[in-house]
Amino acid sequence: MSGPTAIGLASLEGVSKQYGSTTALDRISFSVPEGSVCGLLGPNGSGKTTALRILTGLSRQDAGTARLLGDGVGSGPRDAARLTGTLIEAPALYERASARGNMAIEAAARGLGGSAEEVQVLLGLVGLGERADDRVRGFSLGMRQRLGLAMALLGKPRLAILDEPTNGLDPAGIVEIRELIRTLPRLGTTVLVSSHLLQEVQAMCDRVVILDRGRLVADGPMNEILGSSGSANRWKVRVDPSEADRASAALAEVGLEVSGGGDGILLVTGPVTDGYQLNVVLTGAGIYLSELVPEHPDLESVFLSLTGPGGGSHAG
Amino acid sequence: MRAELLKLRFLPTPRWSAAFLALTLALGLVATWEWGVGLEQLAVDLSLGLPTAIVAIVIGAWFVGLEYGQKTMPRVLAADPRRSLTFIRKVTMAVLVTGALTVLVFALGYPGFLLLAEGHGTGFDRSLYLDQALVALVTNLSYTLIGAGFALLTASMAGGLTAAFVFIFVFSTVFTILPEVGTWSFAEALAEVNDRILDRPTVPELESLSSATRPLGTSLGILIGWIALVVGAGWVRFVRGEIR
Repeated sequence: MSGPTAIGLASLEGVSKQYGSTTALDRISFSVPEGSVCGLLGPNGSGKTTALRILTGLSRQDAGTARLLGDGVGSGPRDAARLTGTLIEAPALYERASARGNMAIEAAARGLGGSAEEVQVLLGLVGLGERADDRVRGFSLGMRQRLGLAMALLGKPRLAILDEPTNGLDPAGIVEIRELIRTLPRLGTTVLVSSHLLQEVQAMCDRVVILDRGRLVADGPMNEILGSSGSANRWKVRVDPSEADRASAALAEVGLEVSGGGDGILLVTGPVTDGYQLNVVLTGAGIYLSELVPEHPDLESVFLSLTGPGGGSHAG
Repeated sequence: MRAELLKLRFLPTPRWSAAFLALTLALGLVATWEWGVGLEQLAVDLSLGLPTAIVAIVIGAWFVGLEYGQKTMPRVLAADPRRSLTFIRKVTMAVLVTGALTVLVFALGYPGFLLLAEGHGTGFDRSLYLDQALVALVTNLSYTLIGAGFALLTASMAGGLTAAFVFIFVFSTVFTILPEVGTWSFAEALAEVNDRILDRPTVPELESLSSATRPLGTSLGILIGWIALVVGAGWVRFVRGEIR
């Protein structure tokens, strides 16, 4: 394998894919650095699943290069597939086999040992320890997702490619699986995860790739992507409605951008790093605040601004 | 191959296939007890040869097609993306299971037919029974490969089964009666190979179907050619196509 760290454990380089007249991917390039949890986002039909299918060798790109652990997908030695756990689309399982049986088949297919102890630990980790010997035919979608995740984590893979891993889980299950995924890099597993739950991605990923209509519109560390939204230095200020105009003027006078004000709520944007600075300006003008709240940047607004009509791009 | 062997335990149909084969064996034994084997041991053909041939087609389509039906093929190939190797594993498993099943069924039937036929007084040609087993083996392995090939070509178990049955029982038969080219059909080539094993026409009433004048190598070549065509087309689709 040639320098997986340098180019990322999973990477697409100029990859294009066409289905008939539809462009699924248009010269996409991104890579997943070792030790990261990278979220792959995009609206329906943006090319997320196509990208994951190409990375796992289920689809072939028309142009460009796909690499797993440094090897060309499908062309290198088997190590890359053996060291990569996958949960692609819905978790497909052998219905008549137990959870433990499915784990054994997966271990054998990937050429792993899959010791009884490891299987039990992983099933316990995803909350299926008590159902290990039950046939999966009776499993709910959430339980199938959990089992699919456990199968992907067999053999402590260097890379886990997870497509919508929290699909079908209840809220407590989503939190539980999110926390598990966040711990994976510490256990030596880099994660590429696709999800349409933006809050989940924001909470568990340190890096994000956003696709829209087959194009790459953002790629970089989560904090940089969030910072690009313009909401990083936005504050919500509440004053007495009768003083809103005066407050707006005072804030504008020091170079801040102010909007709203009708109900006494002002949205203030500018180079403000601490609420104290706003407090000083307003109290200096004889205005006392009833509320001062930093507006945390959120992935949803970034996502919508990038993938909505006229969305821009941010790749770094 | 370990994964394929593990999957064998969890395939849904074996118990029904086993029950079906046990039932036809029992019917054959009852018929032999009642009427003797007669007609060149037709009871053996009908109770063992034909049922195992049907099961052979099912096994071929089933080993490959089940992964499509359960949507587990993406998981199989994500675990090991070497598609040609996966193809070889699947086809090999189908061939091994069909071979083992045919040998097992004929081995299980042997003492029953021997005792009942000889007790009945119609006699039992042991050498012919072994030849019939060999014919069944050749036929079943051919059928299972055709089933597997069509399952890969259609990327579906149901599609594979349907296409294989149509190919074997309709297309090949129609092809056989075509003037000039009929002797090049799959059915004709298989019948010729089987006739050589038995050293007589497989089905006396249909003797005219099998000319059996060509060298065995030619018949074998045509048979292998048809199988290679179907399995090869399945391989190309499997190796080059999108996996769903």
